Amino acid sequence: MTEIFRTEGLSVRFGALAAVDGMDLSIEQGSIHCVIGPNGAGKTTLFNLLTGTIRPSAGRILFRGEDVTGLKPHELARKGIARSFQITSIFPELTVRENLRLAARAGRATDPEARVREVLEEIELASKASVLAGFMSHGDQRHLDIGIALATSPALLLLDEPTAGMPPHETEGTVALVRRLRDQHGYTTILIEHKMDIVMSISDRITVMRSGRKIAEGTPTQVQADPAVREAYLGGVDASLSAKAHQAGAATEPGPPLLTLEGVSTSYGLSQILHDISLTVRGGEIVALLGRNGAGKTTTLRTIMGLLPPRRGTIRFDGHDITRLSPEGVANLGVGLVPEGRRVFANLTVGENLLLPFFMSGVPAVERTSQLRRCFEWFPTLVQRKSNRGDRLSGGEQQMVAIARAVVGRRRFLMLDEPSQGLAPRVVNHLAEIILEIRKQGVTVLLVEQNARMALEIADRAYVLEDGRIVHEDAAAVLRENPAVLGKHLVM
Amino acid sequence: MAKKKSGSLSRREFVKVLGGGVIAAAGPTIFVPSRAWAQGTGPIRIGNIEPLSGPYADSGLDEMEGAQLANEDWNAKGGVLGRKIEMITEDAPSNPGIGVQKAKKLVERDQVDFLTGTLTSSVTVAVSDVAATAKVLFMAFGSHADDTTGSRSHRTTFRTTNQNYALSTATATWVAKNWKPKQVYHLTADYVWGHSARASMNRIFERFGVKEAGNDLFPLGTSDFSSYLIKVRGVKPDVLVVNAYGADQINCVKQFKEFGLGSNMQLCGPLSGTPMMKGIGTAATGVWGLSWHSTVDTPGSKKLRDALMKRYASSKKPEWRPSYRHYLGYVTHQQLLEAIARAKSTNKCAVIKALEGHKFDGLKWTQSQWRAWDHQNVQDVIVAKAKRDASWKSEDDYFEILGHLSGAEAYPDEAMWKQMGGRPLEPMSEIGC
Amino acid sequence: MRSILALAVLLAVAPLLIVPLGGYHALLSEMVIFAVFAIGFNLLLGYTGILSFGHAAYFGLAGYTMGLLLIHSDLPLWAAMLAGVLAAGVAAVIIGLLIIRKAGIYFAMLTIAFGQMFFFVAMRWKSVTGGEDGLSDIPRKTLFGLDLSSPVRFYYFTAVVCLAAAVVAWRVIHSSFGDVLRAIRENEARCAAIGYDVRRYKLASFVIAALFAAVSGTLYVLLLRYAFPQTMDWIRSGNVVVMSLVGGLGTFSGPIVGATLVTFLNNYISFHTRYWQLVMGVVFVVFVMFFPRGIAGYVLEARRRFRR
Repeated sequence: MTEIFRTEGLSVRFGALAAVDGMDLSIEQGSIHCVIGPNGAGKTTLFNLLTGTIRPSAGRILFRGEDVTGLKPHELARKGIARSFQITSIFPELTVRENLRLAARAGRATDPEARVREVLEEIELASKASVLAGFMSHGDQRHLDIGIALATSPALLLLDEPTAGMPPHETEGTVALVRRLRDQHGYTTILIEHKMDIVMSISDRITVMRSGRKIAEGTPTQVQADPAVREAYLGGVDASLSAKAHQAGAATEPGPPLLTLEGVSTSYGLSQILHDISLTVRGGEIVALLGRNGAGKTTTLRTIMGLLPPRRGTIRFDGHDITRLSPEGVANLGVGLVPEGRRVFANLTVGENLLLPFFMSGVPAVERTSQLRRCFEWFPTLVQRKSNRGDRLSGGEQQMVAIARAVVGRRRFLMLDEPSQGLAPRVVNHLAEIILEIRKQGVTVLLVEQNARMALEIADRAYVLEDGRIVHEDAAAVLRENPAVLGKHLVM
Repeated sequence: MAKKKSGSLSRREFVKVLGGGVIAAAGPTIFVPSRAWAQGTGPIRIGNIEPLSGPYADSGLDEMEGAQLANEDWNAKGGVLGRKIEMITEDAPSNPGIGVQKAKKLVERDQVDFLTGTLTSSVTVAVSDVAATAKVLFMAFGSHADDTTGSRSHRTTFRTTNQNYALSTATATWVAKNWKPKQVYHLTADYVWGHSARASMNRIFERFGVKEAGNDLFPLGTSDFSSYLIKVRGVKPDVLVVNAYGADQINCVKQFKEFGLGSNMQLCGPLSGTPMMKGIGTAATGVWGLSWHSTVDTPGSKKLRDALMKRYASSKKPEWRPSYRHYLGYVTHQQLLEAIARAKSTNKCAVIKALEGHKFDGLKWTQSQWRAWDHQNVQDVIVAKAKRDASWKSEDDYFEILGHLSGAEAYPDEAMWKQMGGRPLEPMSEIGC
Repeated sequence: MRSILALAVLLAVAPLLIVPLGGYHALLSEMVIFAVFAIGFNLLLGYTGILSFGHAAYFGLAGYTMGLLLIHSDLPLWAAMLAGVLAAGVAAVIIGLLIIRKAGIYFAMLTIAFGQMFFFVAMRWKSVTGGEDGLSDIPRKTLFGLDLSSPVRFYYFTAVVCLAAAVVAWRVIHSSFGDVLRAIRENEARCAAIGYDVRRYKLASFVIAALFAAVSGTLYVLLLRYAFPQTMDWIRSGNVVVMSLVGGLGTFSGPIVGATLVTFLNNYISFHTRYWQLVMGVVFVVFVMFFPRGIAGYVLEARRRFRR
């Protein structure tokens, strides 16, 4: 066994956040090496480091013994490191053949046309060689994305979620292709993938990441057995939380249905993400929406918010049909969305961030002051931070600002997308308490979480999503005690 | 496949035949433009270039209207030499390149007999150069720059309006004699016109023993003059000289008023006119040099004013009055057409000869003259006080005429002209005469 | 190559078609000269997908350089033209190196800034450039003994240069270099990820467009025998963007169609109304809103449909 690629202490920081922290990787020639981890673990950042899109703040990258740290993407490509993209990245106005020819020439193939023919056979697109790439199906485009990387005749292949957005039958083809590349042609592949069945079936080795660090490494069986991995996927909470939660939960009586989705289907371009989603959130409830990465949780929230019009189905909020309503229209009904990644404005102060919702609506000054005061009552820690710039805050504080900003505009229904992402367990607890407090003030909450434990502690009910479909629905208390369901749909 | 190929070949063949036919049929008329046709019995064509869009659009329109009135007067009398006058106006905003294009178009395509018009000096000298190369007579309306009939003069170019030197001389003389200041302060737009205005004013001031207390150059397009005016307030000159035109003049005078400097000092400048006073509004003040104003009380000017009012007032606001730009357009065309009549020909050589040294009634107090050696229209320069008070009724009331300096006193003599870089006109032989 | 042949035929017979319609040779020359500018600009905007609002700077710089050399030196015309083009090329390399790493709107703003810098130098450096009055009386001289003084001859001279420019552009577009430019327009990140030094290709495209602009600028100054600051202000840079859009971005014939049409309309409409700039503005808005692919884009599609 020879090592072809390694990283030593690879790290990068974004402001206060250590996105990748002291990563050591060692990749064997001719192997498929998977990097996995819950959302926000730093996989994409790692991938960007390996492909030269961002420069590391510390550490080294060695390829065939040569230090390639800090090289630009095209320089790495010249060295023989090729990549595919998570969001299909092809040349849509060129034909398939032209796409591949560009790559073959870039890879200095002695006979580019011959290389193009080989790759066409390999990715099974020979019959579509003259088709404009942009007109092909999503699955074909994903294969072409890999084909473009292959055409440069690389020594190392970096694939970023090659099956993202694919239906099961197409997924199989891609898996077969990746396996074939190793078995027949001896390719070395680093793979980021969320679909655990795939990961387990094709990986030679797996590295598990969490919060920018490597928490486990080994063969699929070793990794599956590792308790730290299980913990990473399900998350954790303090025992003291539950008591409070049940207390708070008992105080509220669920009202009539506030939000109803009936048979909602949504697509991104060619790939359908949501299939026939139906769910209900009652007034005063906290409802959790759980599922693995790529299950369609964020898409559900975006669909409700009016950011993505659904293909089919109806969405009703408080008696209004909001299926075709604009995001502004939905917001005006009192619906707020705290997106993943917080989106706190880095160069505005906390106070300015909180005032943002008022700039666009004609809220009178008195009202504005009273709401801000209320907001600081809910989030007392923000008072001291009032004039700090957004990028000087910790992750937890940023999350608080994001939530506070969503509540100040008189919201009565709040959707939170992965609020606990990247937060320390202690901070996650505090966050959970804040969500409970918000509910106490009469705000209904739809919570999307990777940290299933936390979500189930504070939620009344939960839905589990898998591949864009609702596969399970239950009271949170029941689900909490049902490790089989959790393991099946949420871990691996 | 073969069929298609032969088809396309025959199509190409067809184009060739067609092209050949067109060449054969149209060749003579296109490649040998027949001036004989234009010069014979058809109308006399005058190509008129004006800024009809952009910042000087209003002034350009005024010039065009003035010229049009002169043409109509002659056409009503049956034209000149029995030929009607036809004017083709092209729009050239203050961009010399477009001026050149339009001049070329008028000469090459429309085959005009004469070029007239233009307002800013950069367009004027550019068109003047084109006319000289094309050997076409060009009567410039505007452009006060000394260069136009000085260092960039041409045998084929005549200029109607007052040149900078004369305007400055007249204004400075009036100021020195009447206000008897000890010291003056200049605010000068930092370009050729501004610099030469200041030099010309100072030449007169020196003669009367008036000192220059200071001078500030400001860039063209300055909107905030406060820093300059604060300095002026500190220096306390007797007179502030504003060597600026257009928007710069408007902003400077307005802020002069806002700063309340009017109670401490007088204000003057070499050149103004109705277009500026419209912008300055109630802040109007100062003594200025003018080429003409609607209240000039000579019989000729009264008549012109009435004619312009009769022709154009119905389409304007009630307070509207003809501006000096109307005067320039009218006088120039009037002079050109008269010269053609005198020369009994539209031939440029004959018309140039008819104009050179010709004395005429420029509708002012003393006679005007097309000076033979620089083609400048030597004429009276008006000195007037700008005002805008409660008694203001119409654009007539923008200025109160204080007096005038005759052309003989205001204009540089030949020695002075040479000292200023005056370039002798090309000999007649060089322009094909 | 059919397009090149068609262009050659059109250029040859254009005077016969346009002059009876109210055109004239100086206008034809101007149309052809701006076609050269637009052909090069199309490589940058249409094929590489980079928007510059500053290429008039190279147009003007070449014109001024050539004009100054023709006035003050004994260099023959061809050498003065070449010197003008080279000067613009060097300036484009330096400026390009400075700004090519910026993307999108930042890049466009920087091109305006640098373009305006040239404009102000031309405006203020009166002793050399003649300031706002410009450089006048630039001698046209003879080209290898050929007298270019008649409008007809000068037109055919510009037509030959335009044809040469079109041939060069054709070869660039149909080379592997051209393929990479198109790939950058389509997907810059992917292009870098397969090993192309995207920045270098973008710089090359920037400089090539500047060279075309420079050739066009020398011809323009020769046509007017006059160089003036407005040759390089951002309005002229914007004009070539309009020409490219109206003609059709990323098509071979688009810039030629756009440049000739816009130049002709500018001349024609400005004679008929003093609100011609408004009319041209409306024409532009209509194209951007309703015919974003330009004339050539729609003609090509219609032809493709017709063949099916």
